[in-house]
Amino acid sequence: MKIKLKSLLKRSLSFTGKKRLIKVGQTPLEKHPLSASLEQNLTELQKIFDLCADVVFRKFTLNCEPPINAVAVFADTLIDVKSGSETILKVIMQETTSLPENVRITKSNAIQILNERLLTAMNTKITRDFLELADFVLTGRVAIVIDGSSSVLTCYVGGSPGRIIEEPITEPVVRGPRDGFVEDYKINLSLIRRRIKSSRLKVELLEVGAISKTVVALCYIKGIVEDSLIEEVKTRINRIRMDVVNGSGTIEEMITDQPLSLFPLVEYTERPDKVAGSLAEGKVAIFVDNTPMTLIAPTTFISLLQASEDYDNAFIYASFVRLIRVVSLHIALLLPAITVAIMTFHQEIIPDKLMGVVLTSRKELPFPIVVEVLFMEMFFEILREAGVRLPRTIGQSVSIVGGLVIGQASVNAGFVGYIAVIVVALTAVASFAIPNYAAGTAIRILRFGLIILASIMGGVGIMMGLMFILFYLCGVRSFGVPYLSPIAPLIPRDLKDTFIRVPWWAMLTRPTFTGTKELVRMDTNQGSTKPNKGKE
Amino acid sequence: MEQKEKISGTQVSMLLFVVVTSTIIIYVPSFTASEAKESAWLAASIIPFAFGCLTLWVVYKLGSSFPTLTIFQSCEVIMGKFLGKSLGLTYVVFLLFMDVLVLREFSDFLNVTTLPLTPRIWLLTGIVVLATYGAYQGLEVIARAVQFILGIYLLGFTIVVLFALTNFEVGRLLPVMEDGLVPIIRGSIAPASWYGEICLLSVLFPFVKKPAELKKKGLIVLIAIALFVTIDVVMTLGVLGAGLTSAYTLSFWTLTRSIEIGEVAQRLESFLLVIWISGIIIKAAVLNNLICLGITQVFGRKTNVVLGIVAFLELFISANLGNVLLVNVILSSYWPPVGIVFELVIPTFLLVIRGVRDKFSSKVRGA
Repeated sequence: MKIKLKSLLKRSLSFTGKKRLIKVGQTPLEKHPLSASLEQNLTELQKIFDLCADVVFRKFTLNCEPPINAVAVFADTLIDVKSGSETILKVIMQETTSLPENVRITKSNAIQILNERLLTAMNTKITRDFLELADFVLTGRVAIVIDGSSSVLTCYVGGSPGRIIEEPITEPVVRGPRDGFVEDYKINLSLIRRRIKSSRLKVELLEVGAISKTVVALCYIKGIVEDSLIEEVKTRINRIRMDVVNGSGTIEEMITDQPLSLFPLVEYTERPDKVAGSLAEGKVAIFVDNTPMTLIAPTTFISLLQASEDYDNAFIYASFVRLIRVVSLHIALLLPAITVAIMTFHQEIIPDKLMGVVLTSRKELPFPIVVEVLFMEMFFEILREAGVRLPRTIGQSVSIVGGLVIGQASVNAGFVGYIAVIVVALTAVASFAIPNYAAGTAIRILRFGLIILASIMGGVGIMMGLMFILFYLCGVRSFGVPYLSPIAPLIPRDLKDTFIRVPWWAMLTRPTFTGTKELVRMDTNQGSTKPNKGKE
Repeated sequence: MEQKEKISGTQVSMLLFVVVTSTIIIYVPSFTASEAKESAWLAASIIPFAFGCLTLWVVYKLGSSFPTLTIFQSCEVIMGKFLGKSLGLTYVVFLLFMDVLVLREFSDFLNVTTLPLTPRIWLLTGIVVLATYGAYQGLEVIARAVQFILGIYLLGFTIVVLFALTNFEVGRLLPVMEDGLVPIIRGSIAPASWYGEICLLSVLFPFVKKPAELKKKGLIVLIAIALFVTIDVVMTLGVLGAGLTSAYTLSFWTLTRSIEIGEVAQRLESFLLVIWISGIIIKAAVLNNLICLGITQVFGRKTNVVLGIVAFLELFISANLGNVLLVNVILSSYWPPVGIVFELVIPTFLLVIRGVRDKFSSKVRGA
């Protein structure tokens, strides 16, 4: 039935999955070798880069006898032009005289001598193929085509400047490192490598997207992560066939276990410390070029309630905060529904004095409570969306007009009761206490369903909705890991890092659901010892 | 239904605990008290516990002689194709009726207590849809769901019991065994049949990872159930007294209504409702799954069709079963003997036949 649903969806979107990507109006560039003639190569390259204004052909002559013509091909928007002129053109055009007497540049050995003796660029590669050459130029390399040679020297001379490393905006902390990922995957990888200085930290590069050719870097610690997990991630990423991959969200949806999942089955973060911690737990990080949002797989429901700061704070406080988060998760999911259920079906549960307050406040309201709550929830969602999309300066005025003016006025005018306003406000605040934004959105959507169920069947309806969610969540897996582990299935040993966090000296083993290859994390008996005990 | 999923011994025991106690928690006090009066807690614990142990032993023996077969299949092996299939089918019907009764317990309870105006058919449809979804997701998922809710289930029960202690009087439990043993034995028939629901193990047996654990874990489950039920009955008797306990059909629910803690919390019955519903939904989902499994193994049909048929059957039968009183009479008087036959008598019979055949065939081989 699952498969049927998927195929039905695909059919309705008129995607049968059988067609390959069709490149309209353009024959795809195929592999074909370069010739020895500079003229021919240049014509071919100019054909490839026709109307590409950012690709520059710089003609020059090698300083030798007889002079050899050469062309540097590069995209001047992608390279550091200053360093390019110094490391390449300056040495080729001016310093060839520094070569020893017995070395003479000829057409046949020019590439070799340039590569081995002259160029000061750190990263050089030689290619003999147009396709590869075009790729190199478009990834920010300078290609040097020399007359009489059928191979081309390409070198990396630094990229164009990107955003500098800043504090992550979506996941700020009080205590902890302040660096966040940026768009360039190389810088992101460097942030991880700085934290894990071991050759066991492996980085594998994959390419996704027929046109965009987005770099996807797979990162894991060998020996801790299960080999089957790496294979699975790789096959899933390699299976993706699409034209342009814009961000990690696309990759996430293409590799997730459930095609129609409401909850995030792959976690994303822009904090390097979180990624490093996850790698040490045997998870895999997936860096996607051009986005600071890095994916972590597999993920569990519990990990969506954890923030990286929990590991920096004192363990008692961290555990307390985590419990607070669990409470606010329940408030965010259930409070409006419970309010509706109690006010509609179970009035007897309200203590007498409170009932008096409730009665007086609701005496003259025109709508039933469910309409009020739904109305206010919708209103809040609109307000939130407007606040996120608008420029920051206007956003404030939206929140003032929306929150204060409309909210206050609708209560004073008698459309909406105080109870609904209090409940919705509390729910809104609680929903922002969930560290993972994607999990928060899932909760917000489910909330509406539960409110409607509660208005039909009261507490029974809520319970039915919850049991449905529970059955669903129990069946979901993220890369083979049950989503609700370590609670269901219960792994008592792994409970040390769920609703509470035990002190670091008791964090003896890695979580078992990501594999048991290297379970032990530290030596035992490292807990604090009393000074006099230590002396004995 | 090709079920290759495996669940651990702990998961099975948690599952059985929730399955057995979710019916008991509501109905046992009044059923036992109407026969055994003040000694109801004895009726609910000792003899049913012994019965449960016996059932466990028989089912375990039967299961360990056919470790890869469910009872639907082992019937066929032991009794031959026609008789075995018929017996398997009766088992399916037995489970189906057990399920129907569970659904009716659910809808009647809600109709009587909190949702008097909601048509029964909607409540039934709701739970049938949920149970079918659970059954569709599979045994593994249900087992995980049980692990998730068991903590909440026990916590809720404990809170109710602790709060109810304020109204508890030991005097209401006296005198012990006023009329001798006979009323106690009569009163223990109904709970015995519910303890005997542990016979579901005969269907679950092939899915357990280490079947050898089941002997010990099954016993632990029985002890836990006995403890749970005893506390349940003792609390109800101690708060309401024997007369009221037997007068109310849903006496434990009445007990939660009487709770009042200062001016903060009163009438916690909705609270009980929540934990009880989670249990009863699990029970319905498990039974649903096992019925589908049974039908598949007896007739050899495909899964999803069976799920639909079973859901429709359940809905149809449970909607047309008659009124609340009739269901109560069935639950208290007619169901227990039937239950005992299917839970203990038939498995024992199967075990004996198998023993006799083994002996016979070994003699033949020996000669």
